[in-house]
Amino acid sequence: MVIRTILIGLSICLLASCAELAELEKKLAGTPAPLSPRVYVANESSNTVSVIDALTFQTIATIDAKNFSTHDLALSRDGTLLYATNLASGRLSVIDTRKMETIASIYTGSRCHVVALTNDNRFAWVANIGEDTISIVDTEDLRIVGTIDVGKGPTGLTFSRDGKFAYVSNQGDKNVAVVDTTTYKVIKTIPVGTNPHFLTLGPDGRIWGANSGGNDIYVIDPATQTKVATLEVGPNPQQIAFAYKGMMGPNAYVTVSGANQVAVVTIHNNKLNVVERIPVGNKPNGILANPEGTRIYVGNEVTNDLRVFDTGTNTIIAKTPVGHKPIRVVMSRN
Amino acid sequence: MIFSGCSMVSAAKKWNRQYLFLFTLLAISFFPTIARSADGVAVGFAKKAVGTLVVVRADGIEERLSGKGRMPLFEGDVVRTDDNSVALLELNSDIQVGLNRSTSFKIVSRWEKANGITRILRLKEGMLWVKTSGGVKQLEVETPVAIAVVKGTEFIIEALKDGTSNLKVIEGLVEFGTAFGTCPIRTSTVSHAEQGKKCTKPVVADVTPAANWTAALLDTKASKNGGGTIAMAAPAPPAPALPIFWPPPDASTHQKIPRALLVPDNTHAQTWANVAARMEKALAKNGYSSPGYYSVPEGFALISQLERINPDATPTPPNERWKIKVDPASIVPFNLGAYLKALLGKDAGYFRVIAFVFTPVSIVTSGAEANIEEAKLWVGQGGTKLPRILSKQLYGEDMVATALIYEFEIPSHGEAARLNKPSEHNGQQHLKAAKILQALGG
Repeated sequence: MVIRTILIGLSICLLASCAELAELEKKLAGTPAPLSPRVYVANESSNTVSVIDALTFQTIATIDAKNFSTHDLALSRDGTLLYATNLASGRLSVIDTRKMETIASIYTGSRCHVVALTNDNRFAWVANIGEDTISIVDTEDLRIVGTIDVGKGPTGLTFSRDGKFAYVSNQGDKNVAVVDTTTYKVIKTIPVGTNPHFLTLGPDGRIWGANSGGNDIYVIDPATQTKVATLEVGPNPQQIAFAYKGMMGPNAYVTVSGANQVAVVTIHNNKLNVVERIPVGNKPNGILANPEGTRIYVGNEVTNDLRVFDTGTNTIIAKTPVGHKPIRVVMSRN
Repeated sequence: MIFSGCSMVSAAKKWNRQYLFLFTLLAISFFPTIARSADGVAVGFAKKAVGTLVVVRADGIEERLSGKGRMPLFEGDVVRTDDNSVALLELNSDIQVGLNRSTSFKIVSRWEKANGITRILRLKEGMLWVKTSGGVKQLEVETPVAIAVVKGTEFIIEALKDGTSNLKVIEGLVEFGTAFGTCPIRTSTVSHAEQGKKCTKPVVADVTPAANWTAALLDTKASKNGGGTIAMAAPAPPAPALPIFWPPPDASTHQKIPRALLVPDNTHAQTWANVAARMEKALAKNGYSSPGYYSVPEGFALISQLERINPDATPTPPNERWKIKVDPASIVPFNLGAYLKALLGKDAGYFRVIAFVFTPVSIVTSGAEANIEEAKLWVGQGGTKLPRILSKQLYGEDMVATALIYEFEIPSHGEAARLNKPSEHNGQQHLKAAKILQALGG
């Protein structure tokens, strides 16, 4: 009798578990599978974005940006939306990364060059070189809710760690404009050098930029809003990523387009030094480090490929063909 | 056989060509309409310019229109008027756009897979009048600091030289948004936007004068004048605007009036005029004369005249209710104390003004203390009725009626009146004592 009761009880429990499992399976079926880490490359002369598996280095897809001269990329924090500027079209493409297709195209301004997402991903700021403005695109309804006059030829754009300031490099004015993100007003301009382009937030919370018309990189401290360091790295520096070499790092990896190499820069407070130079291909431009900081991905404009380097050994571990003139490389987190 | 074979090959080629043609046709038909392929399609026409309209094409070539015409407009065009010209455009889908003097905008667009193309007018400077008909349009107007999303309406938007923008809605609803939020702007209200701020709460205003400049464009007689000089039609006399009662001064107490008392039959749409009439009727039934009308954000206010009340908040008898100074002979029933006070010119007592405010906007009083001398004039300085354009407004579900009660006390003759704040009676007691709730059916 006792055994029978236990068996019945166990059967009920089992049935209940099965029911729960079925429910769980049902729920999981409705949940989209997580994406594997992906590298996205903007191909300016193909008007496309290459999608590459970050682990196998195989091309998964090539997305038509539905515009011309796809130049810069910004990926939403959850990795589901990719924003791409298109220089010739003056339009921002919005790409659904799950469906791997362009789902919207917004005219922002003549020769829109770079895009950066605000820290809360609420707005995409787009720099329009042809109009000397930043367009503020609401990422929810894709409307331009404001325009900021920043200076001549805005080409680089990034936000401070706390999101209170945006930094815009103006190639025509040879400076970086500091924009207060609460008032949308330029509060300061910082002279930085010849033809400044790329800007990024470094792991030290400082703003790193490259003078593409010259041969140096520079560092701006948001605490003082001043240029605190500069270093010559070689002709036509383009973009900067941060990675490690074993215990060393974080180091700044700078694509030096005019020298066909990546310069590895060590950071000690305000002292920067080039400690290594890695030959990476022909006219390297876009550069990206994986989240672990063990690999760098470099897009070469002339050979139209993405090369992956192990930062521990500086050896190339993959070479993936992409579209024509790869400019910018970004990566999803998962 | 060879001939036959050739014939078959030829037939097959012809067949293939037909299919290729069909396939191409289908591909063209179904390929998503995106900006890249939409460049060559006219998005509308310039119909008329009083003075000269300049259209700068994407390649920099300029074209001009004077008088009537049908100049095609394309995406990427910059359209502008100088300080002596106004112009009228017609965009596809029943959208009329008027350019006032010294106005410049660019025609751009947004394409979304889910929603298709939204036409965007990027206003750099000047003033645009926009009127849509035939339902909701996918049209937006951008200014440097804000965006107006058209919901089927008539409005005027202005990009000012100081970088700020104004939106005046003549009829309908427009979503006015900045990076700090969106404000729905309704008929006969105005909102302002500036960099780094949310658009202001809409304020009721007479928007008729704002649209007067479009008369030259819409009047067919005026169009015969062609180009050259501006032949402005005689502007319609502006409708008198209601004075503004916003933010109201601090009140002694307040009371919300249940919606059911104002809109007893909720199955039928009620206008502001219906609600105002019901309120006026309730007031008249209790001895109040016609109230004064005022404008408040997204609504209106109706203010009763200053009345003398008893300490229990009931109105005093009619012969002394509306007088600040009391005639001793009018004291009925006779009361020696009151008679002597009145005889000596004692004007002490309690007084009340009720402001009925109808608005979906939360009322936050100004912090200023109401003054009896000013309150005495409120009814007379207000409008005698709702302007026609406001009277047609629907009394929406979000409208809230609030009675702001201003109770004043003159403690003794010669002393200054003071606002009793708070009153010893709450708002409901005041309204019940005045029998207003009862008259409304409460």
